[in-house]
Amino acid sequence: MRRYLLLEDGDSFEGKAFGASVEKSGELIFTTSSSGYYEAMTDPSYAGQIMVFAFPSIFYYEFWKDNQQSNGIKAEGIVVRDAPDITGRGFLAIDGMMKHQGIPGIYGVDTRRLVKKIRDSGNIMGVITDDLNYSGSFERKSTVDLIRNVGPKSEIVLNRGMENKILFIDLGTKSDLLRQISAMGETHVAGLDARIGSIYDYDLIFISNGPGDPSDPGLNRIRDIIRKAEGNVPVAGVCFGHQIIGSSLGAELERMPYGHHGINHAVSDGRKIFITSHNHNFRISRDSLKNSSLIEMQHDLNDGTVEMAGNIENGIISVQYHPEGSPGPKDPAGFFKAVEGLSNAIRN
Amino acid sequence: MQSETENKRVLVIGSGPVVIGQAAEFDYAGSQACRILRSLGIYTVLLNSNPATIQTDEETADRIYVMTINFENAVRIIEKEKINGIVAGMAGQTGLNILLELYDRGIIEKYGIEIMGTPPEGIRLAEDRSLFHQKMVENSINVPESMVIRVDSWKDDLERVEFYPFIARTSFSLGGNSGRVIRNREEAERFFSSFFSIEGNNQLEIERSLLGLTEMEYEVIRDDSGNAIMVCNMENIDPMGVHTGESIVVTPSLTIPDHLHQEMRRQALKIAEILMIRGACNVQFAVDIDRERFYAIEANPRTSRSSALASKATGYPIAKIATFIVCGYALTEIRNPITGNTSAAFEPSQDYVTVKIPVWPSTKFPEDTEIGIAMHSVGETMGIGRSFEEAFLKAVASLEINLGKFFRGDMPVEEIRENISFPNNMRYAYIIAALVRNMGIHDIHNRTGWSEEILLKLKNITDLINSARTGNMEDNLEKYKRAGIPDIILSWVTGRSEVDILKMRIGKNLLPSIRKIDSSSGEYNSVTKYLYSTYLEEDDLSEDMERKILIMGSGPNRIAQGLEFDYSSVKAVREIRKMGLNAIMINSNPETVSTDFDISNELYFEPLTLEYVSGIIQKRKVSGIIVQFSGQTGQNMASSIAEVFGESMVLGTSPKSIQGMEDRNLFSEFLRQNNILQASWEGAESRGQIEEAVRKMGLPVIIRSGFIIGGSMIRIIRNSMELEKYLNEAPEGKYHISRFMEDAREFDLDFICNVDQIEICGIMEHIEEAGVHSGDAISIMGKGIPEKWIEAEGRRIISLISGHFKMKGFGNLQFMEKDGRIYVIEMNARASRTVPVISKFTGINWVGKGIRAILNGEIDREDVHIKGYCAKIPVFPFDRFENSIYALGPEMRSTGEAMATARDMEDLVEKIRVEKGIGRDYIVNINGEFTYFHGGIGEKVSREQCISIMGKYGRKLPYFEYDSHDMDLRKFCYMRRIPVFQGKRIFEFMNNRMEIKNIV
Repeated sequence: MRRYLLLEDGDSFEGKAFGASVEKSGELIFTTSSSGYYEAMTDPSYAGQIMVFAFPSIFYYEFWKDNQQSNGIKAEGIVVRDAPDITGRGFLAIDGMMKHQGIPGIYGVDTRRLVKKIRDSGNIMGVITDDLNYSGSFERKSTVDLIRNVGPKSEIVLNRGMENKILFIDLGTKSDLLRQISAMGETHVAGLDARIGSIYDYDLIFISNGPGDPSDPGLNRIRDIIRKAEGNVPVAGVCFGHQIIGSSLGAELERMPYGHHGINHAVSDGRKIFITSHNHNFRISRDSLKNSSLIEMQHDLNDGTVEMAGNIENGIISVQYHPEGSPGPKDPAGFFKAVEGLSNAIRN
Repeated sequence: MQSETENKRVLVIGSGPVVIGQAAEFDYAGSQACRILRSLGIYTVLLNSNPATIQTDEETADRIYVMTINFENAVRIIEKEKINGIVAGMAGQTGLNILLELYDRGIIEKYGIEIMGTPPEGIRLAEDRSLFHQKMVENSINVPESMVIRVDSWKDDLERVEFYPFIARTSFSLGGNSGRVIRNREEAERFFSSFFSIEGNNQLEIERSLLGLTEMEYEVIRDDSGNAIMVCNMENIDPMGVHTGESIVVTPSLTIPDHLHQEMRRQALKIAEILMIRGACNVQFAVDIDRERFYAIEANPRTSRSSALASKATGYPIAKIATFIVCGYALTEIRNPITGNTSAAFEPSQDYVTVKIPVWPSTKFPEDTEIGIAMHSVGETMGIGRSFEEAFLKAVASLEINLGKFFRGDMPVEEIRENISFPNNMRYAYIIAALVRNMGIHDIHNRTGWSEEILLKLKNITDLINSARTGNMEDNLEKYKRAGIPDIILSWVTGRSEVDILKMRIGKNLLPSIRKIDSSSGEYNSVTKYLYSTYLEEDDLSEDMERKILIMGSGPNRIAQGLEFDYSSVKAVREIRKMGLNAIMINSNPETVSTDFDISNELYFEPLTLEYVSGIIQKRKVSGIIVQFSGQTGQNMASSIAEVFGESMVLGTSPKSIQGMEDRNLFSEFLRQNNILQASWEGAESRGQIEEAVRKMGLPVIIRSGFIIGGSMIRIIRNSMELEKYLNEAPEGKYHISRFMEDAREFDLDFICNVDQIEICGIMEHIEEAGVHSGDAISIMGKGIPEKWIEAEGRRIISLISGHFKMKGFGNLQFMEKDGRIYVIEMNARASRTVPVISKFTGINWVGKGIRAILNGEIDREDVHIKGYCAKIPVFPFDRFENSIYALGPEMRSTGEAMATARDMEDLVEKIRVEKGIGRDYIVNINGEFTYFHGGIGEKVSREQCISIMGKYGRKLPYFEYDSHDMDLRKFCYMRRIPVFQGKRIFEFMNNRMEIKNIV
């Protein structure tokens, strides 16, 4: 069956349908990773986005071998090049799952043209539809809605009884990130709207990754928490969390032309480089860091994006990349160890 | 970064003649290294005996020593050139061996030489199997479990074995293939109870068997600061048990889940650290995907065949970056040359797939088809596509082998089943045939170990191909092209010609789309024009260039069409660019310099078939195409190009003339009419006619089929038994039968011309008698070779031919002399295999002159002053082909060559001895009589004594044989790499018994 990807600027791509037969719009983003597709598709940060796989021949292994990052596919829709037809166990299984979860897919698309388009025209909205005369809107979903959708619906406590107490603010975390952090102590997972008691009860406040715009005012309550915690309770974060921490403590945020989505970016700490996993459209403005209480600890080798910022004396550290990998290299620079060390730093 | 590059004087070690397992990939790596060193202002000295490579071209290094690569020569150069740095990691095992020898014998220390690459300790660690294993275990790297089973405790020991199946290695053999696979406890008990019942068997090491697992490779680059990246990973489609050089390989991996991939990647980087890698390194793993386990197998502390493939697959030039690193640069200080604007410290990503298929010398060694843990392949093709299927089929098309019978589905299932059930050099084709015949996926998987997912994808394609064969191809053409099926495959199955299908596509405006390789999946804009094509997508290239010339490369390395042609292609591109024109290169060979993206103005990595060549002609509106540097490939395609685009599209000698010279029967007729002598001949088009012709002229004869690469299906037939055998194997087609002239001398004459203006580049004389392929004979050149009258007669003949065929550009004439008369063997309207040797010996850029002749009709005369003598010395792969026929003949079987130069003939013979690693003593077998010459004295010996003497002296003592056909003894020698010389002339030449006529 024919299916279309229509862009808000009037451009269109034709392909064939897979997954659910529903119309979904979202911001177009591309990922350059050639493996770990299911890990990427279930990453809640992709909520509100239509995901384009730059690598053409995907779904060659069965998806359950990837480590699922949430309870289902979080991207609005999936765009791939591959295949004259859907065959192979991997592709058929993904197709079935997307049908079940109401996620539309389109294949047989000239994805390289699409990637170049996204690269050159920046953040652009699109819709996956079976109707070439689609007349609906291309509105962005609000950040708060996206987060509410993928965040926890109730409060959860993990590893109860462990000595360290962690407040994990879950704005749409990947499960491997939660797994890594919760291994450090009794973890109270709180969503965007959860009641949060005294922050002084915790040994660490952690802000997860998540979808949407980190400067959204709906996140101001979290920024308040971070400001209150600075110097008192260790604070750490990843990706979206990193951006929120930065913006809480005086740095400014900026939208990138087309973001980083892939598992091949080199990050430098000034001495060595590490290859890291990325998925973000926003970043901390490097110039604005001097107005904050944070310092740059690592940066992207190609475009200077602030990759790790912090203030160890005040117990703060965060990274733009995904130290949990999944997909991609796992914790190349020892971020999780640094987080564990934060409480010591602040106590001394 | 180092500042003292100005005072650096670096010796780069080359890899020598092309042999199986160490071939053109090092031409590529070594040439890149030299170019980078020179660009950094470093005085670069090269040692390489291989004349066929662009690496030994005068433009590559400051000083080039074309001589035997051995310790003595290296030391001599180090002293003479005041060397203070050495690059040995670009030359395979040869480079590492020389480095270790220089290190062990104190030369490195004595002259204060910096080892620019991985240190000897690291190299040793990688090479010593047990040391490597131990280090890996210490560092928590996954290695296959192993255990020692002892005679007095074997039952208890077996209790603790948790890794079935395992291999019990009963003897320590190279490559570890002589082991017994034990599948379960029961088998183990049976095996050990019988093993330990034998006196003297006290213990045995067992190791987990990795046979059948998925083999993976990781290409790693690491710098002095410890920064390390993975350039790419590669998945072998053939499972463990088939050497990675013999396996079909896809990049990036398709069937490996990310968490396994990431863990292998992490361990690969760790292994590079353990081995103290400076530059490039390759790490191999065996993966058990279902059990989510993997094992490190081995690591190569240098550039390799895989790094060449990885460079071409990703666009990330590994040898280039590795050279910057050994010069002291950190990865972060190096730009990624392909994008020009990003850092080299990143991991390339692909938005396309590449598939490599090895090329085996199956027509040369038809007796050995099985493949396994030893390499037999001589080259490889790489297909690039926007899907796995497209990449795979483009790699198939690039093989330049007609596989129609496999795709057509008329092959008996029995034959297919038999041939997919063991690894062999046509298995991939039989797998296609199995899919075409609808054999079960699961069954094929069980027999081959190929992944079911991969087979399912290919099944899609074979279904489409079946529909093209039985249905209306024209209506579904768009569907086939979208699926990535090349025209040539459609042509095989439908019987329509490639020209027909091309015209059909042009009618439907179904032209290829040009895509760019940018190492970042489009994330960054790239300035480099490294391109491939697909269908029904956007073009990445829109800007135009003026005056474009398309150069056709020579495709995958094969015996008889190898590195020499790549040398000429690269020189041609450089000349065209020097002339201010734009050179576009098309080639399908990942191992070569011509497919380096910064050689030409635009590089198309594509199969050399009409479809892709004409795609570029149309899309890029080229002014013309040059086919003279592509070996036989372009000669075969010229008339099709002319049919579609007109005769004038092919620059140089016209397609019509090429046809006139390629058709042996037509050409022989031309010679007859012009009173040019040739061996008496007859044409034949059936077996009956062949027999008839042979009866007429009498044995011995030479029979050949037309349009040949290196003389496929050429045989000397000496008796009726051989004739019968030949007739049984001969397919339908045109044959040329000529009287075989015994005891004649053969010559190779290369020239450039524009109709009646002719300049001879050089004439080489074969030492072996006529009848030995020109690529297999030792050939010499120098003052007084050949005699004046022979040169004059050669000139007269080529003038006649060139005038008649209006030749323009290169020509190569092969002829014989017997009893004072000259007989023509064949004529090629293209650059020959000997052009690089002659260019290097004469010091003249003949390819440059040839290009000017082709493009401008210029023939600028230049007096050729040659000093001394040179020899081209072939090397043979007989030691790898156990069932081969060990006789030199008209079928070329050497894989490469070395070059030696000398001041006089005696010195030349000495240089050949050095290259062969032999002394003055030898054994000669004349008509079954054996003589052992040592210390200047000849001693009659029996055959048995001869064998025991050979066993004692090994490779230093050569074996000569004439008027005798002792195949067993030849085999004995080849398997031990004892140099063998066949024929009376070479015997006399090597032992200074031959009078070379007219030498002053």
